[in-house]
Amino acid sequence: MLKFFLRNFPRFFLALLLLVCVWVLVYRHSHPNSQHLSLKNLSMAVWMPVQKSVSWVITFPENTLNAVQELGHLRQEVNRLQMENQSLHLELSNHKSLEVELARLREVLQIKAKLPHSAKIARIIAHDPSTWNKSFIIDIGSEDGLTVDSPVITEQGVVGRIIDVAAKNSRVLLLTDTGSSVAGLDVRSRVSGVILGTGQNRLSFGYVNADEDIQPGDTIVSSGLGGVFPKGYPLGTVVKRTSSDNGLNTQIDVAPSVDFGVLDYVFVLPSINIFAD
Amino acid sequence: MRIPKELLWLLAIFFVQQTSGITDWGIDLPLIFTALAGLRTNAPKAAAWGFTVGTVQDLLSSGWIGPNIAAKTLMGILSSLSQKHIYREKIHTQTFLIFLMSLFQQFFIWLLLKWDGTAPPASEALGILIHTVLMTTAAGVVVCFFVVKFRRRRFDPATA
Repeated sequence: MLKFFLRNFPRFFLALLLLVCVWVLVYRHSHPNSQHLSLKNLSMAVWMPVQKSVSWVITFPENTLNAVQELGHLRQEVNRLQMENQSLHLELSNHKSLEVELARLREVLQIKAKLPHSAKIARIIAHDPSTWNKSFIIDIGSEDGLTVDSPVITEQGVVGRIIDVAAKNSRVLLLTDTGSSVAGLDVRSRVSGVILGTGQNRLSFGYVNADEDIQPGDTIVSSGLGGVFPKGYPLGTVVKRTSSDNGLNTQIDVAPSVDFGVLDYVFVLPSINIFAD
Repeated sequence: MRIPKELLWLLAIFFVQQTSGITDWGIDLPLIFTALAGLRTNAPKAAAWGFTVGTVQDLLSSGWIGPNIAAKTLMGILSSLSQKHIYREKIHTQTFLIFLMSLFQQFFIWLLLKWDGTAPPASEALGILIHTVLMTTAAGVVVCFFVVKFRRRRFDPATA
């Protein structure tokens, strides 16, 4: 029996294979929706490592060669991309800065629309180099119709006044300069006085009687007296009031309404000084 | 044409001093320049530097022309003379010198303004003086650090 089987093994094997084929076809016909997932997965699990290994053996030398060839190109590409990246960063930064500038200019134009028609917009181009003086230089001058004593303001309030005028530049003396004095008025109590510069980022409300009603929080505006500043522009807010022991003297500290540290544009109003040339 | 490097320094200092609002912080860069330049030259040259710096500062300032010229010239001379008494290439030595010179300069300018009748009241002047001295000294520390650390040793007679 065994001898017969061994002698006819090829035939038996062929028959077995045919039987398996038939079985597969019959099974498929009787189970049309079956996917044999487990079988497929098993075969994949067995086969894929082999496939990968063979594939790797075949493709490794080629890939290595290609990688070496591409290394040079990649370096060039990286350099090019780095430069492009830097350029885009720079462009983005410029765009952001332009966006901020645009917003600021829009704001400035909106404010200018509320001011007298002859008000001029000026950009600050330099600050005073001395620590004892508070002034800055703006980029418009007599060619733009500016004269000495023209009031300079922002949307926040009074900045100062023009003290020197050149053809294309002018110097603005800030409220905080020790040589600056502006007639002021307490909005709440209607008490008049003079806003004096202290040389620091603080003002003083002087020439006020010790018994006058001035409280911290009061807003001081220009009173229009003195003939330089129009009436009603904010000068500052009272922050502290100190009286001497005998009650005869009083010191009133005022915080300027304008933040002088962040100014970039200002408005110059036409001079109303009747004594100016 | 060769432009002296000191002149370029001078231009750079005033450019920075005027554009960035450094004055608002109370920093007197021209004084730091005068002090450090004076430390490295003789008295006449230091005085000339002080005079030049002071003149430019007064010309660009809204105040009257004079206080900074006088003060900076004096500071240049004092800085130059101090070479004999201090070892200059140390950060704290230079900083202390800048502190003293800043203090002296501010007091001197206040006296000049007082003499001229344009000085602020003493209480305000004291505030400006203290603020300027402290901020200039603080800025001086930074400047002196770079000057000492990155000075060119081969031109430095103190270490040659």
